[in-house]
Amino acid sequence: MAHLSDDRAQILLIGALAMAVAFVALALVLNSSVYVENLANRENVVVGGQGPTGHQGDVRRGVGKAVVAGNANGTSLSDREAEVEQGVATLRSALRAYHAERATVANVTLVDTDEGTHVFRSTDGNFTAPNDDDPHWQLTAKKNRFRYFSMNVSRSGLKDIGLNSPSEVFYLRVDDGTDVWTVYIYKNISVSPDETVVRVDPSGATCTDATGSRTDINITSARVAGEHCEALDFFESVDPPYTVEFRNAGAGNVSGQYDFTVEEPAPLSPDYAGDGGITTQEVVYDATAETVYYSPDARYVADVRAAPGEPDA
Amino acid sequence: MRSNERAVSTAFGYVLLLAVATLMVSGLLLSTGTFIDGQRDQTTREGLSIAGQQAAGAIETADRLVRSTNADPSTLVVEQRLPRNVAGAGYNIEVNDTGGDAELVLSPAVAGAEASNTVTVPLSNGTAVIETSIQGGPIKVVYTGSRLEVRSDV
Repeated sequence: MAHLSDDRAQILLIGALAMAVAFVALALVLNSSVYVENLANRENVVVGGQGPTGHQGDVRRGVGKAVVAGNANGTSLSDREAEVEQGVATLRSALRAYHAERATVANVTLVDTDEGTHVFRSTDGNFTAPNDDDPHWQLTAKKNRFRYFSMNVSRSGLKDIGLNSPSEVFYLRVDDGTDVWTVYIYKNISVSPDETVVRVDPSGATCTDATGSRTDINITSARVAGEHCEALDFFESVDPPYTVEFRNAGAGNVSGQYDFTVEEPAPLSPDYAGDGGITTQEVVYDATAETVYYSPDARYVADVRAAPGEPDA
Repeated sequence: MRSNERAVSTAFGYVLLLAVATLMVSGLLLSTGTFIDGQRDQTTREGLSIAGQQAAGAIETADRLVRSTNADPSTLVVEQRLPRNVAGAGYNIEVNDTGGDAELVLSPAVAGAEASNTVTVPLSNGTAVIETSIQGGPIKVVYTGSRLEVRSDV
């Protein structure tokens, strides 16, 4: 009996030890699981808005605003360029202070600016070529980029689609050498109240406006009467440089004002300056800035171009 | 006869107790072992998936930075601190360029690891990525002038 009692419960003891080892292993696995969950929930600065992508967006927007403010405040081209430079310097100070609080080094330096021409008709008239009244004409002889391209048309001055085919109404033709888009602008009086219609081919998509007697059409920001117009989103896929033509732009087809900035120094061809209803200004078209971003997780140095009002800006 | 049968129940009871205890302990050990293996596999897959998503995030961030600048960036390095081990074991990261969008394949670096624990993370990239295979751990995504490269950040 004494010998038997020495061996008793050995299997239970070994079993209990094995179980203890198994539970330790389980605890380790569960610990790994908790660590993985923790890893998944950690804030990721590199891919977040405060990382290099966010900084690049800040620089693009900030330099774009410096261009807009410089053009608005300056009185000559050199004055406007100086204003843009000053605006970028202000942006640099703000970005440095913002990122210094986050243990990040950021900088922005103006590299260069491109000259452009701001053209606008501020009194109502038809959209024929400056000085020679040609209803079919190209806005600039050279292929170009355009930004802030908008028009404000009087509905009564547009042609009615009920009496005319699309080829007889006023339209814009945008050609990037590979694809061609046509933006027809006309009125439809078969509905009540009358509406202004913007139709884009080849998609055939339309946008309408029946408010008031005039319609704002912003081609490059795809807006009609202040609302987003999906039909005009095509401009994002136009590959610059490209040409823009007005067709059927004579009296009876369209009446109103237009406004655009083109990446070409004045004088343009055709020469708008001689036309009494049209004003031209030498402006800064775009600005390129070198941006620097150094953080513990990312190092990024690149030239960023800002052209506010361009379709993809 | 009577004397031969005496105390049999005590011995029988003892043997029965040992047999039942052995069965129970064996059963518990087996089921606990299977449970732990299952948990380890699941944790490994989750860990690799999260590491893969974070690596993909770093690569796609670098890709966006390249594509959204007109000129190529003169310097672009994005680092991501990934764990060196997942569920107690090392792992490998393989970058495959499938012709279109690239993909990351993360697999445990232990001999005889289950193939089902390999995780594939698809990328959405416009900039080409150099095919490579590196050991799991902190990585850095570097722009080489035309392509992105994933390197171990040791």
